[in-house]
Amino acid sequence: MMQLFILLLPVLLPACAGLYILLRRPGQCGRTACLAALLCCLTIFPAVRSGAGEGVRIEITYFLSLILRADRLGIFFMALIAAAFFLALVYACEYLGRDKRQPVFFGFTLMTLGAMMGLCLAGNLITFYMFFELMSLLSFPLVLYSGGEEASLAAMKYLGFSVFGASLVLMGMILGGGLPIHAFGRVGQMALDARQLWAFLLIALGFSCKAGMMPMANWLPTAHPVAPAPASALLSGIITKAGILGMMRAAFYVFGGRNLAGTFPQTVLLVLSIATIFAGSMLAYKEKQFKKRLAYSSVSQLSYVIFGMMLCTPAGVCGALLQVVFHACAKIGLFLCAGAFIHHCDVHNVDGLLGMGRRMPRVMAAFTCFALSLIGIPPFGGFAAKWQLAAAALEQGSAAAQTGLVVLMVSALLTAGYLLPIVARGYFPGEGFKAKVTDGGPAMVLPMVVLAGAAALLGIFPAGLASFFRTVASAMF
Amino acid sequence: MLMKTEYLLPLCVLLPMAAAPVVYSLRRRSARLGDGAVTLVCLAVLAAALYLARMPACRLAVPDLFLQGVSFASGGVRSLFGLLCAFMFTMSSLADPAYFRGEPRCARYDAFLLLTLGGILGVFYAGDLFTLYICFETMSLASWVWVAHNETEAAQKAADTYLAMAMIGGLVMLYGLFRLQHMLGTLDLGALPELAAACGDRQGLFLSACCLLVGFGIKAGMYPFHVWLPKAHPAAPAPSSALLSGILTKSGVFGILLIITCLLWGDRRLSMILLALGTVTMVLGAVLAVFSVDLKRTLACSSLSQIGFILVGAAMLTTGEETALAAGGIVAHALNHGLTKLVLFIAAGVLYKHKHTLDLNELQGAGRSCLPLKICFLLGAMSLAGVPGFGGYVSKTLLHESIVEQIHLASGSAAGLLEGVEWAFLISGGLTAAYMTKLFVKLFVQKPRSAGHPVRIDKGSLTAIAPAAAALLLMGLRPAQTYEKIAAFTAESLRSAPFAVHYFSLENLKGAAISLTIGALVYLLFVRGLLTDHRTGDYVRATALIDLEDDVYRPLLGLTAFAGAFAARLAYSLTDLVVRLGAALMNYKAPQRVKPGEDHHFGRYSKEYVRVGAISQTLQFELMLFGIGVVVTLVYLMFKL
Repeated sequence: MMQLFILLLPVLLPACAGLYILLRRPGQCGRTACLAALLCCLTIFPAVRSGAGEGVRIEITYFLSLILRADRLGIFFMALIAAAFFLALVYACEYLGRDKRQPVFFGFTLMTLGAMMGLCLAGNLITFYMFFELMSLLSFPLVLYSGGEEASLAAMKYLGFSVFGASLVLMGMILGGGLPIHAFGRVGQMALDARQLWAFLLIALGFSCKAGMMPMANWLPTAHPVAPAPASALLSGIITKAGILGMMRAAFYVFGGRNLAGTFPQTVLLVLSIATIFAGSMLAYKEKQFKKRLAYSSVSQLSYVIFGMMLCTPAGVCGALLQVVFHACAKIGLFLCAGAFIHHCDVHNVDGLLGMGRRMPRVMAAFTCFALSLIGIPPFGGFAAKWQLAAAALEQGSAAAQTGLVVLMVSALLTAGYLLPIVARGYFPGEGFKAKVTDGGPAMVLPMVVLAGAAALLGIFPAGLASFFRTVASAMF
Repeated sequence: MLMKTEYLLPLCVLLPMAAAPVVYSLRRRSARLGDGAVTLVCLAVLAAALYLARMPACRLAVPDLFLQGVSFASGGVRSLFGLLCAFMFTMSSLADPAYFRGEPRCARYDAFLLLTLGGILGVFYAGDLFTLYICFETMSLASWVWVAHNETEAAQKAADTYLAMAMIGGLVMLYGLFRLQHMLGTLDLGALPELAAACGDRQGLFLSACCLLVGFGIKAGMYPFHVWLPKAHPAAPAPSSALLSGILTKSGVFGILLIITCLLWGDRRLSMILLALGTVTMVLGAVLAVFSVDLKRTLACSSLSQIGFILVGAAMLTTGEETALAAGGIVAHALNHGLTKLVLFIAAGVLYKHKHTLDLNELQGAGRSCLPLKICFLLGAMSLAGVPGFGGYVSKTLLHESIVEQIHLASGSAAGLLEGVEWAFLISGGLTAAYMTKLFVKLFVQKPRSAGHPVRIDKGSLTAIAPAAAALLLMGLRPAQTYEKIAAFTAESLRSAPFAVHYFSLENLKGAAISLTIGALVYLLFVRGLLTDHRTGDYVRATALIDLEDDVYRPLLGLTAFAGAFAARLAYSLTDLVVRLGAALMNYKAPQRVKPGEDHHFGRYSKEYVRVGAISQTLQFELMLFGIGVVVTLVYLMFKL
């Protein structure tokens, strides 16, 4: 029982804290939430110790058992998620200010954090699925938060796509027969029959809905702009990664990367991800509303991860994981910047960002770092991820991979096209531009500094991270 | 010895970069302190570069940085370019205080000056193409700030073009690097020549090298990627125009030299490409310069033309046979062009600072009364025009001789082609003489229209340009002791041998004589005849028939983006279409019970408000209950076990 308690602590602690905040009288609760998130970060360490090896198995019926354990991949995602939530919550303290409804935001964010911790600790597909649904439902109020018709419709769309995606996963799990019950682990060489392949495709497509791959990416550009900035940062940077984790678990821990190599689901997913990479960037390039542009950008960038992963090689998985880290850093950072622009200058559109380098120098400096990282310009981390992905694509060598590499380059160019003009006009607004300085406060800027620092430092010294990911990847194959 | 020489290599790169933020804050506090700090850092780097050039070649590898590991190396052409770069930055920084007096946001300029210095030295001292790429990107982005610095409309447009070209070039280059890394397994410049020679996939190697060529060609200003250059160089502040023109273009040339020597040694196709593009660049730049009536634009177009000369030399080097003269010519011309442009652009900056215009007609006679400026400008102009006794003559003679040598080696149509190139070379040389005469006469000989304050050159600017101007003359007088020594120093790194040439023999003087005659004719007949308005004495403003950027590239890019966006939108909206169709089918003739769009508080389907703590909306309340349920279940499970 002790083992289970320690394992469940990262789940229960934020969940209980969230409930506490929700049930308490309305008022300031940012500090409590930040504290809870920080404690959640700390509870990862004992959970990692006690969850090693077999983990805990709870048998409900003969066919249905829940497994909780902490393997390397899960630990990595836990650390990433907890840290990102903490930063977003710190930011939210200033962003939400004295908003009366803020307990709803903080409470549900913490509960989402709990669900996501469970997701990372899940040891088989059924457990994963449970926490996945939990997360979808608990993050729903975050989209609804700002109220109004637009938010209602967006939240409805978010829910609809989530439920549809989850139903695909469920269908796949039923179709897959015995496979989803097994504990996650290295999958031996075996030939998958047509039914199993379809099962995998359904599961992967279901999870890809959360990860924003076409044809089910449409909820992102609707839901992200209406949510408050810290929530859209988490939705875009972190919650979408749950879909990525789901695909990874299904592909490499249930069906087996080697078994999937060369099959039709692999081709389908590669083609879809390549199409999404291009379409997302292109739409972002044409989009004028800033947060929507970032949402489209996420659609594109997340498909980099799916592309790398579906190459089904250790190098590809390593590249995908690097992209997970650096996309999270950059995209969370960009949404936080967008929030700062909205909060302090009430700027929603790209055209309004003229001279932002003078109006909000600190925020704009951070924005520049994130933009460079997202494009993949050294010394920022996006470059390392892109390099690894490209090496993996060439190593795999199939026609889809080769095309993907070219599309990756085009997409990088488009990324530069939709982010750098903001930097250019922000710093060089033209002669005679005058504006007041209204920079973000410490609670806003600090998370940005941390994220930008992480993107730069991990980009310059990625060796430790990369070797960790190589270990993870080689354990899968 | 306590410190090994090779540690100086990363130091050269990192010191300016690390100093940039320090200088930024210093410069904001005090102009003198900031300017002093910039010059000090540049001097330190210059000392290091000098030391590196004097020491034997060395290398340093730092594994694991940026995932791939970086490495640095010195020796030969790298050391020479590094030294030239450090020298030019130092000299240009001396001219800064006078040029930027009273201007806003100089701190930004100074910080990015140092960042660019670090980047460009990294390009020259890179030990592998990966390191080179990283530094190249840093340099491109940092120097973009120079172009945009003035924040005028022209500067903004030029900066946008510059950035777009830099991004495209960088990505094409990166793609080439991916392929090379995959094909050859390494990007180490020391190992590449052997691996590339042994590589079986010639076509793949050639295409990868072409990707690199695009990236470097953009930076060098090679036709048809030159469009940014005549706009960006004039838009930047004068001290940085000197650097953009004089040394940043050389980073592109340096990259092309690496492609030639490390990847495609002796490749005929590359040689032909370089020859064709080089010749076009050479002639086009010169013609544009003759027509231009803007001082800095003339100089920028002249840079194009001079890069064309170097590229023609590079084409001769690529053939891989009898390359000594071509290698020497390239190095000498790169050196001369750098020094010349330093002199000319900073002189232009001095004039601009006094008259606040770059229009040649308005600048008429501006520098007439300032003797030191006049002399320096004259020395630079004579060298650029290739007058015997100046540096430019030596390097052009070497390049010319290398073409002549290749004509002897070639046969049939190839020889005819090369003869055509030789004539293009001589004519371009003539045009160079013509437009430099045009500039000099207008600025320093003709009488000013109105009496104004006479132009004075400040000490800093004079210190910046006088050594370079003097060097061009002194080195030109003793080519055997200077240029040949330098060529011998770099020969091995360019896979060629030292040589000795009689520069002042009749044969070689003939080439210069032809060029200068053509120049005199063009100046007298064309510039003074057709291009001058005889009533006012003004140069006529000629409009170009076609602007490659505005008439071809931008529309093409717009069209591509439109087509791409159309396809993307179509693919993307398919899902929405399916959802709409589904909704229409479901609601077909069915009573619409759920209308989320009409209800302001979506989900509030009970009449009474439920209020617990902060929650007032029922859907959220139910979700909260759900959360409680989950927690209770988990706790129950915990105790059941």
